[in-house]
Amino acid sequence: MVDVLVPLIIALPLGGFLFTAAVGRRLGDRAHLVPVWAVGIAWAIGMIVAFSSLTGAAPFGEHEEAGRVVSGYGHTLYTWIPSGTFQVDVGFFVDNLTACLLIVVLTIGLLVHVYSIGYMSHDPSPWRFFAYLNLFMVSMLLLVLADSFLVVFVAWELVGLSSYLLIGFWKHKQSAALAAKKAFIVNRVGDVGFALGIMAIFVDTVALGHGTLNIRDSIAGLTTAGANLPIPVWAVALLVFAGAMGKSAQFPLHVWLPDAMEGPTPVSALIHAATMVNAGVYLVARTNPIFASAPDAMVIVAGIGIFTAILAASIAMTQTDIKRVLAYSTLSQLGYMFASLGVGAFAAAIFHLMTHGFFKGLLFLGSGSVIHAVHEEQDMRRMGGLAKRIPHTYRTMLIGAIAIAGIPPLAGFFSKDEILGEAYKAGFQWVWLIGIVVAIMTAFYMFRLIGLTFWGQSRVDPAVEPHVHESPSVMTTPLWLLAIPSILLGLVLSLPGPPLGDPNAKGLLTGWLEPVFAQGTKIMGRTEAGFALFGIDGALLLGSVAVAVIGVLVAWRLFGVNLWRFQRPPMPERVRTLTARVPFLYRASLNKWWFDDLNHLLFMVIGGRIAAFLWWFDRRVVDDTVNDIATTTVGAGRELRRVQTGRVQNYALGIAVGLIVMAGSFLVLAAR
Amino acid sequence: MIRVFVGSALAAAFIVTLGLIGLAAGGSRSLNAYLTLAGILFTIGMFGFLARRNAISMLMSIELMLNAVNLSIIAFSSFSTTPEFRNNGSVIALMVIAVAAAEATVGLSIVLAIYRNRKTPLVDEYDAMSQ
Repeated sequence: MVDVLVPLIIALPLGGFLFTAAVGRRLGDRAHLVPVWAVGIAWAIGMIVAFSSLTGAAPFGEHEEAGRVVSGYGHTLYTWIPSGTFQVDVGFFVDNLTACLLIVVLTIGLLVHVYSIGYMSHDPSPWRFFAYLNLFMVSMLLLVLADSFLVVFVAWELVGLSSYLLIGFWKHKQSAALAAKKAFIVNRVGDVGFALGIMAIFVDTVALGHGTLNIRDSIAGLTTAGANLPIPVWAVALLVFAGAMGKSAQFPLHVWLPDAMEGPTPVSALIHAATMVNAGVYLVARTNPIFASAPDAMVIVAGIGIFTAILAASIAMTQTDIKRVLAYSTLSQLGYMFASLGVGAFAAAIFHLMTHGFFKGLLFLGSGSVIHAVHEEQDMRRMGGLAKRIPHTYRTMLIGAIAIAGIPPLAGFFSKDEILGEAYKAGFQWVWLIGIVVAIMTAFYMFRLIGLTFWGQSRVDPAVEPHVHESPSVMTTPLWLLAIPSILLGLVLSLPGPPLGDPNAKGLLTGWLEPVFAQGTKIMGRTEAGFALFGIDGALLLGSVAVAVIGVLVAWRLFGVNLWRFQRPPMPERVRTLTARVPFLYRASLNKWWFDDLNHLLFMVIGGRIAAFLWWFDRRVVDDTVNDIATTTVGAGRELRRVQTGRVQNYALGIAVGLIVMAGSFLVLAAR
Repeated sequence: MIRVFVGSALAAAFIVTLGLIGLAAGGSRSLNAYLTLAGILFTIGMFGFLARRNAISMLMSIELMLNAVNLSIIAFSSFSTTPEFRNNGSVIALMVIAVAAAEATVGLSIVLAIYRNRKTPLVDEYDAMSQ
C-alpha cells in the first residue's frame, strides 16, 4: 500500500505538470484546475503518509532491518544505474524528518497553488505558471523522499531549474531575466561543492569495501568508528555544506535570494521562503551523523549561519521594498537554522524550519496581497495606512509579524527560543549572543514593515488611492489558513507529551525527530538535559521574550501605531536623525554591505579582465596556430602542384632517378 | 642514305664494343659478362623509355628492360651453386616472359585506345592531367 502511495505523491504533480505543459495553452483560465487538484490529492496522501510515520504506524515505526533497529521505511523502486559494483537505486525513504518536510512542502505548496488562482488571474499565461509550480512540487518532493544521494542531486538541480523558470516567469522584464540567471549561476557554485561531496562519499564507501550512494548506508559507513577514509569526513561535511549554502543562500552565496524576489509573489512565498531554501537545512539535517563526526565543520556551519543571520538582519532594517525586507528576513532566519545545526541542535533547526515555513509563507502571500491592492507597488514609502483598507491582509500579516518577532505564544517564539537556548547550553555563547541581537533586529524590522505598510498616514499614489481593494477570498483564505499554524504550531510542537510535569518530557517534535538524530547526538556525546523552567531555560526564555518586546516597541514608537484606541503618529524626523547619527552603518545596510558591488568588482571587472586576456590568447595563439597550419598547407599544395606535370616521362624519370639513387646508395653502403 | 650507313657503322661499332667488354669481363664462362650485357641492355631500355616520345617505342623499351632482367636471372641461376635455384631459374624467366606478354597486351590496347581518342602516339601530348 505504502509502496504505491508514496510514489503517487510525486507522480500526481508530475502528471499535472506534463498535462498542463502539453495542453494547458488551450485551457485558458481553467488551466489551474488540473495542477491544483493534483497537488490537493497529493497533499491528502502526503498527510496520511506523514501522520502514519509520525505516529509510528507500521511499516514506518521502529523495526528490525538487517540486524539493526531502524525507524522509517524505505523501498527500492528500480535500479537506475546497474554498472558492475557501481549501482544506484531509485527508491524512497520516509522517516519522521521526511514527514515533517512533507507537511511543510505539501501544505504550503497547496495553499500557494490556491492563492495563485487569484494572483495570476490577470496574467496572460497562467497555464505556464501552474505547470512550473507543479514541476517545482515534483522536484521538491523528490528531494525529500529520495533515498540516494544521486537522486537527491537530480532533484536538487530540478528545484534549481524550476526556481530559475519561476523567477524569470515574467521573462520580458529584464530585471526578472537577470535575477533568474543570477540565482541559477550562484546556485551552481554551491552545486559543484555538493557534486564533489557525493563523489567523495562514493570514494569513501568504496574504500570501506562497498561503494554505495544510498543515504543511510553511506552515512553508516562514513561514521564507522576508526574507519580509514581516503577523504576525511570533515571534508565531506564541508562539501555537502557548500551545496547547502548555495541552495539555502548562506553567506557568501546569499546574493541571489533578494534578487529572486523579481518572480511572482506566490513563487517567493513557496520557493524562496518556505520550501526550496530549506533544502540545504534538510540536507545537513539528513546527513547529521557526518557533521556530528566533524566538530570543526560544525563550528564553521554555526559561524556562517549566525553571520548570515546578523548580516541579513542588518540589511533588512533599511530596505524599502516590502518583498526585499522579507527576503533578507528569510536569509536571516535560514542563518538561525544553520546556526542551530552547527551547535548540534538538529531538532531545533527543523522546528524553526517548519514554523518559519508557515509564517514566512504567510508574510510573503500577505505582501503579495498588499502589492495586489496598491496596484503592483512594492515600495513601502508609497504605502502606509492600509490597515483599514485591507483588513484581512493586515490581520494575517500582523499575526505573521508577531510570530516571526518571537512574541509568545506564537510559533516563532518557541522555535527561536529553542535555537538560542540550545546554543547557549551547548557552550556556544557567542552564537547565543549574536542570536539575541538578531532577535531584536528581527522584531524591529518586521514591525517597521508593518508600520510603514499599514499604520500612519496613507502615502499611496493619489491616482491609485481610491482603487485600493482587499484581495478576493481565494487569496485571503490561504492567508487565514496559514495564520492558524503561525499561531499554534509552535505551541503544539513544543508541548511535551501526556505525562505533564515530567521534567524529562520532550517536546512533540523533539520526540518525533529523536530517532532521526539519535546517531548524530550519540556521536557528539550530548546528554539531553531536562527543561528547567525555573533554571537556566527560564532565564534564557525571559531574555528572548524581552529582546523581542524591545524590538517591537522601538519600531512601534518610530513608525507609528493605531492598534485599537492607541494612536501614535509615526516619527519620520526621529528616524532621520537616528540614521544620520550612524551614517556609515546606515549606508552599509542600505547598500547591502556592498556585496553586489564586491561581486561586480571580483567577477565582472577583474574576472572580465582575465576573460578578455584568455579571449585574446585564444584568438591570437590558439586560433592563429590552427589557421597558420592551414594556410601553410594550402600554400605548399599550390606550389607543389607544379611538380605534378601530368606527363608520363617526367614520372618515369622520377622512377629512374629513384632507382639510381637507391642502387647507388646500396652500392655505397655495401662497399663499406 | 648516309644516315643508314652511319647508323649501321655505329651499330657495328656498338656490337664490337659489347663483345670487347664481354671478353674483358671474362668471356662466356664468367657471370660478370652476362651481367654487364644485362646492365647495358637495361640502360638502353631505360634510355629509350625516357627519351622516346612514341608510346609504342616506350613499350618496346620496357620489353628491353624486362629481357635484361630475364637475362640476369638466367645468368644468376646457371652460375648459382644452390641446386634448387640452378635447376629452376628458367621457370622464373618463363614466368617473367608470360607476365611481359600480358603487360605488352594491356599496354598496347591502352595505347591504341588513347590513339583513337587523341589521334597521336606521342605521350607528351597526352597532357589532360597536367595543370
